[in-house]
Amino acid sequence: MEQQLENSLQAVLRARFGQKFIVPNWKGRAFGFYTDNADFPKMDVLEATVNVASASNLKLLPSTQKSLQNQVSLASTPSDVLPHMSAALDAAKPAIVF
Amino acid sequence: MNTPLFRVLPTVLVCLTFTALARAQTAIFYASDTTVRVRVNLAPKINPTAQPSAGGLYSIDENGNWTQLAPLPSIPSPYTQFEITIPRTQYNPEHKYQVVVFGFFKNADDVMIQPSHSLVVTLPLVLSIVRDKVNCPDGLTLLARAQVADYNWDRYYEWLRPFETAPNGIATIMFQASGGSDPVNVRAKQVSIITRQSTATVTRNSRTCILTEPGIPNVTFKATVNLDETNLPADIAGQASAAGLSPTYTVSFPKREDFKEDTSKRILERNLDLGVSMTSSVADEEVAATATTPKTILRKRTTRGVLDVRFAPWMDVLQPVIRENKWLHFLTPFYLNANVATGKITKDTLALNRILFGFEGELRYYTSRRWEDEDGNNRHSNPIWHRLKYGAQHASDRDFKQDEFTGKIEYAPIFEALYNPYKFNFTGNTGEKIQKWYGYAFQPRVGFEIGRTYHRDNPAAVIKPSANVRRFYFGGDLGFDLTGHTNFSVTDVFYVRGELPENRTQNYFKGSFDLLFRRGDVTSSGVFLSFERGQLPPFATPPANVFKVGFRIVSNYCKDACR
Repeated sequence: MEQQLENSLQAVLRARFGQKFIVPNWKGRAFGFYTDNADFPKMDVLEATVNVASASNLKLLPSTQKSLQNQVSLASTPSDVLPHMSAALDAAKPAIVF
Repeated sequence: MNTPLFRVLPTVLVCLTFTALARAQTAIFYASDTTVRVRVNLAPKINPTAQPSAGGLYSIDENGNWTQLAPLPSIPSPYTQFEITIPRTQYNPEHKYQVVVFGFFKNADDVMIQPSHSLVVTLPLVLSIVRDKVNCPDGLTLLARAQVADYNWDRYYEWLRPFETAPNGIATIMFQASGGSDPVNVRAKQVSIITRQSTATVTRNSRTCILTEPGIPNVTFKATVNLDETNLPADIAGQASAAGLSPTYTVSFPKREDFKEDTSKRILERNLDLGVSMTSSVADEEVAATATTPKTILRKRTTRGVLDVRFAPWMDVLQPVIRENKWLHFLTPFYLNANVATGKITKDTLALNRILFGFEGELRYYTSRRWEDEDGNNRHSNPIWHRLKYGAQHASDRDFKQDEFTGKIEYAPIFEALYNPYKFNFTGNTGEKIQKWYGYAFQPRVGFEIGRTYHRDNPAAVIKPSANVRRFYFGGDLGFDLTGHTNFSVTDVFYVRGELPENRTQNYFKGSFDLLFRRGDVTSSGVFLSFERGQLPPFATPPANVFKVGFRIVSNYCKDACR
């Protein structure tokens, strides 16, 4: 699951930053390297997490989404936020309950 | 490939599967990121009377081939317990594992037999203690990780659930603050299962939040947790500890850069910004001559204090989840912004001597665009960021001699195509940052202000009387960066003032050009030229018409470590 989260975050960042995205050491590069809008990394981290959750039929609770975004800032790096993404995924609930 | 001896010898075999054994009589399996450790406890059912002669830990592949991973270690007397550790890389979840022991044992009837002790190993849960800011910011998180996809979580949750109603018994917990202080025993006051069992089967992780009494230390600490072993599944290690855990979370102190804003335009970012200063100086003061005394010079001490406070007890109370294609609402219901000094409000006063309080909010909307570029890569952008700011405030001078209410609404969108500052104008698809030689940013705004002065009582000299306020304005900020050394910026705002029918329009313009000689991490220096013309609200001073040329040095010796 950790690997899926990492791949998902990289894909979301690639989509947003396009040719600006630098692959080597991408996990150690702060979001503020690419943008000065603090909302962008919050949206991207959430989107990457939701993508993995949806693929596993899991749904993130709004409170978890909010807590996850609170951990993200322009000074954060992907390495910083990946554990939080994993934590958010653990707190998800199954999208389909039998 | 080795074939264990017991397969060919006519011995009595004691074959016990791991899952069928009672915890205290058999084995505990620990796994970390680097090792798998097997602890075998033979007592009390099987008591060897001497060091077993041979054996070890074996893996059995899909074809039934046996491979010895580690030999039997030397077991100290009374020969009842031993451990085998192998590198995690040797573990293959597709294989079966067996611990085989040859030796002389004593059974429950005290009859000497010569058995093999065989255990089928299933991979256990890995238990760890972590700090989880998302789900458990104020407590410890017990994180159980299953090492196989089809792990059966039933027994774990059967053990865990009763502690939600009786948390005290889940574990004995010990905190030890960094710095060599003595360990402190704490108790669990609340246990919350964060991860549902159905989710754990998907994510292979299960988190449980444990709030303790006393709470989490405010310094980095080590936590040791000994779980209640009653009914604890045998494949869980009963103890977990972690060092270097982060303390209670606090908001970091603002960096030096946060103070660069003009005090009258600072944005609300923190609950409290408080600055207090006091100056005391001695100066010569001339006392004019009178009919009876000559002119004299007196040495006089003057002491003044300045209070600069911004206080917002509740900030961003709505805390929306940041999403695109949706209006996001940010609201600060109350703020106080006071900048006052002691002494008379005169032209040489040390502060603005202004007290503002009110509320402010912002509605924000990110439009979304998703497409495939020419290389077939997914792309995503937010072409327009709509920002609608509003607020109301009460403004007065320090002595409340002139009081007014004003309300404001402003639309300040950002067009992504027009916002590309030099710092972010680069490419990186070759694997390194290639900076472009220019950058630009345009931020338009349009707004309306309305207000009324409801009380005016002998205003001080620097506080000009004002009429009712009805003010419409539009304009924007435009900036160009040419290489990293030159910057050209223009601000222009055009006002239509309803409170002054005879002179309704007013324009404010400020243009500046900066040429940096040296741009370093610590110190930058350069010359600047600026031209400023016009007035800004509250239009209490004569229009400016100023041309400035200067030399500026900016230093930041603490670099990123500023606190």
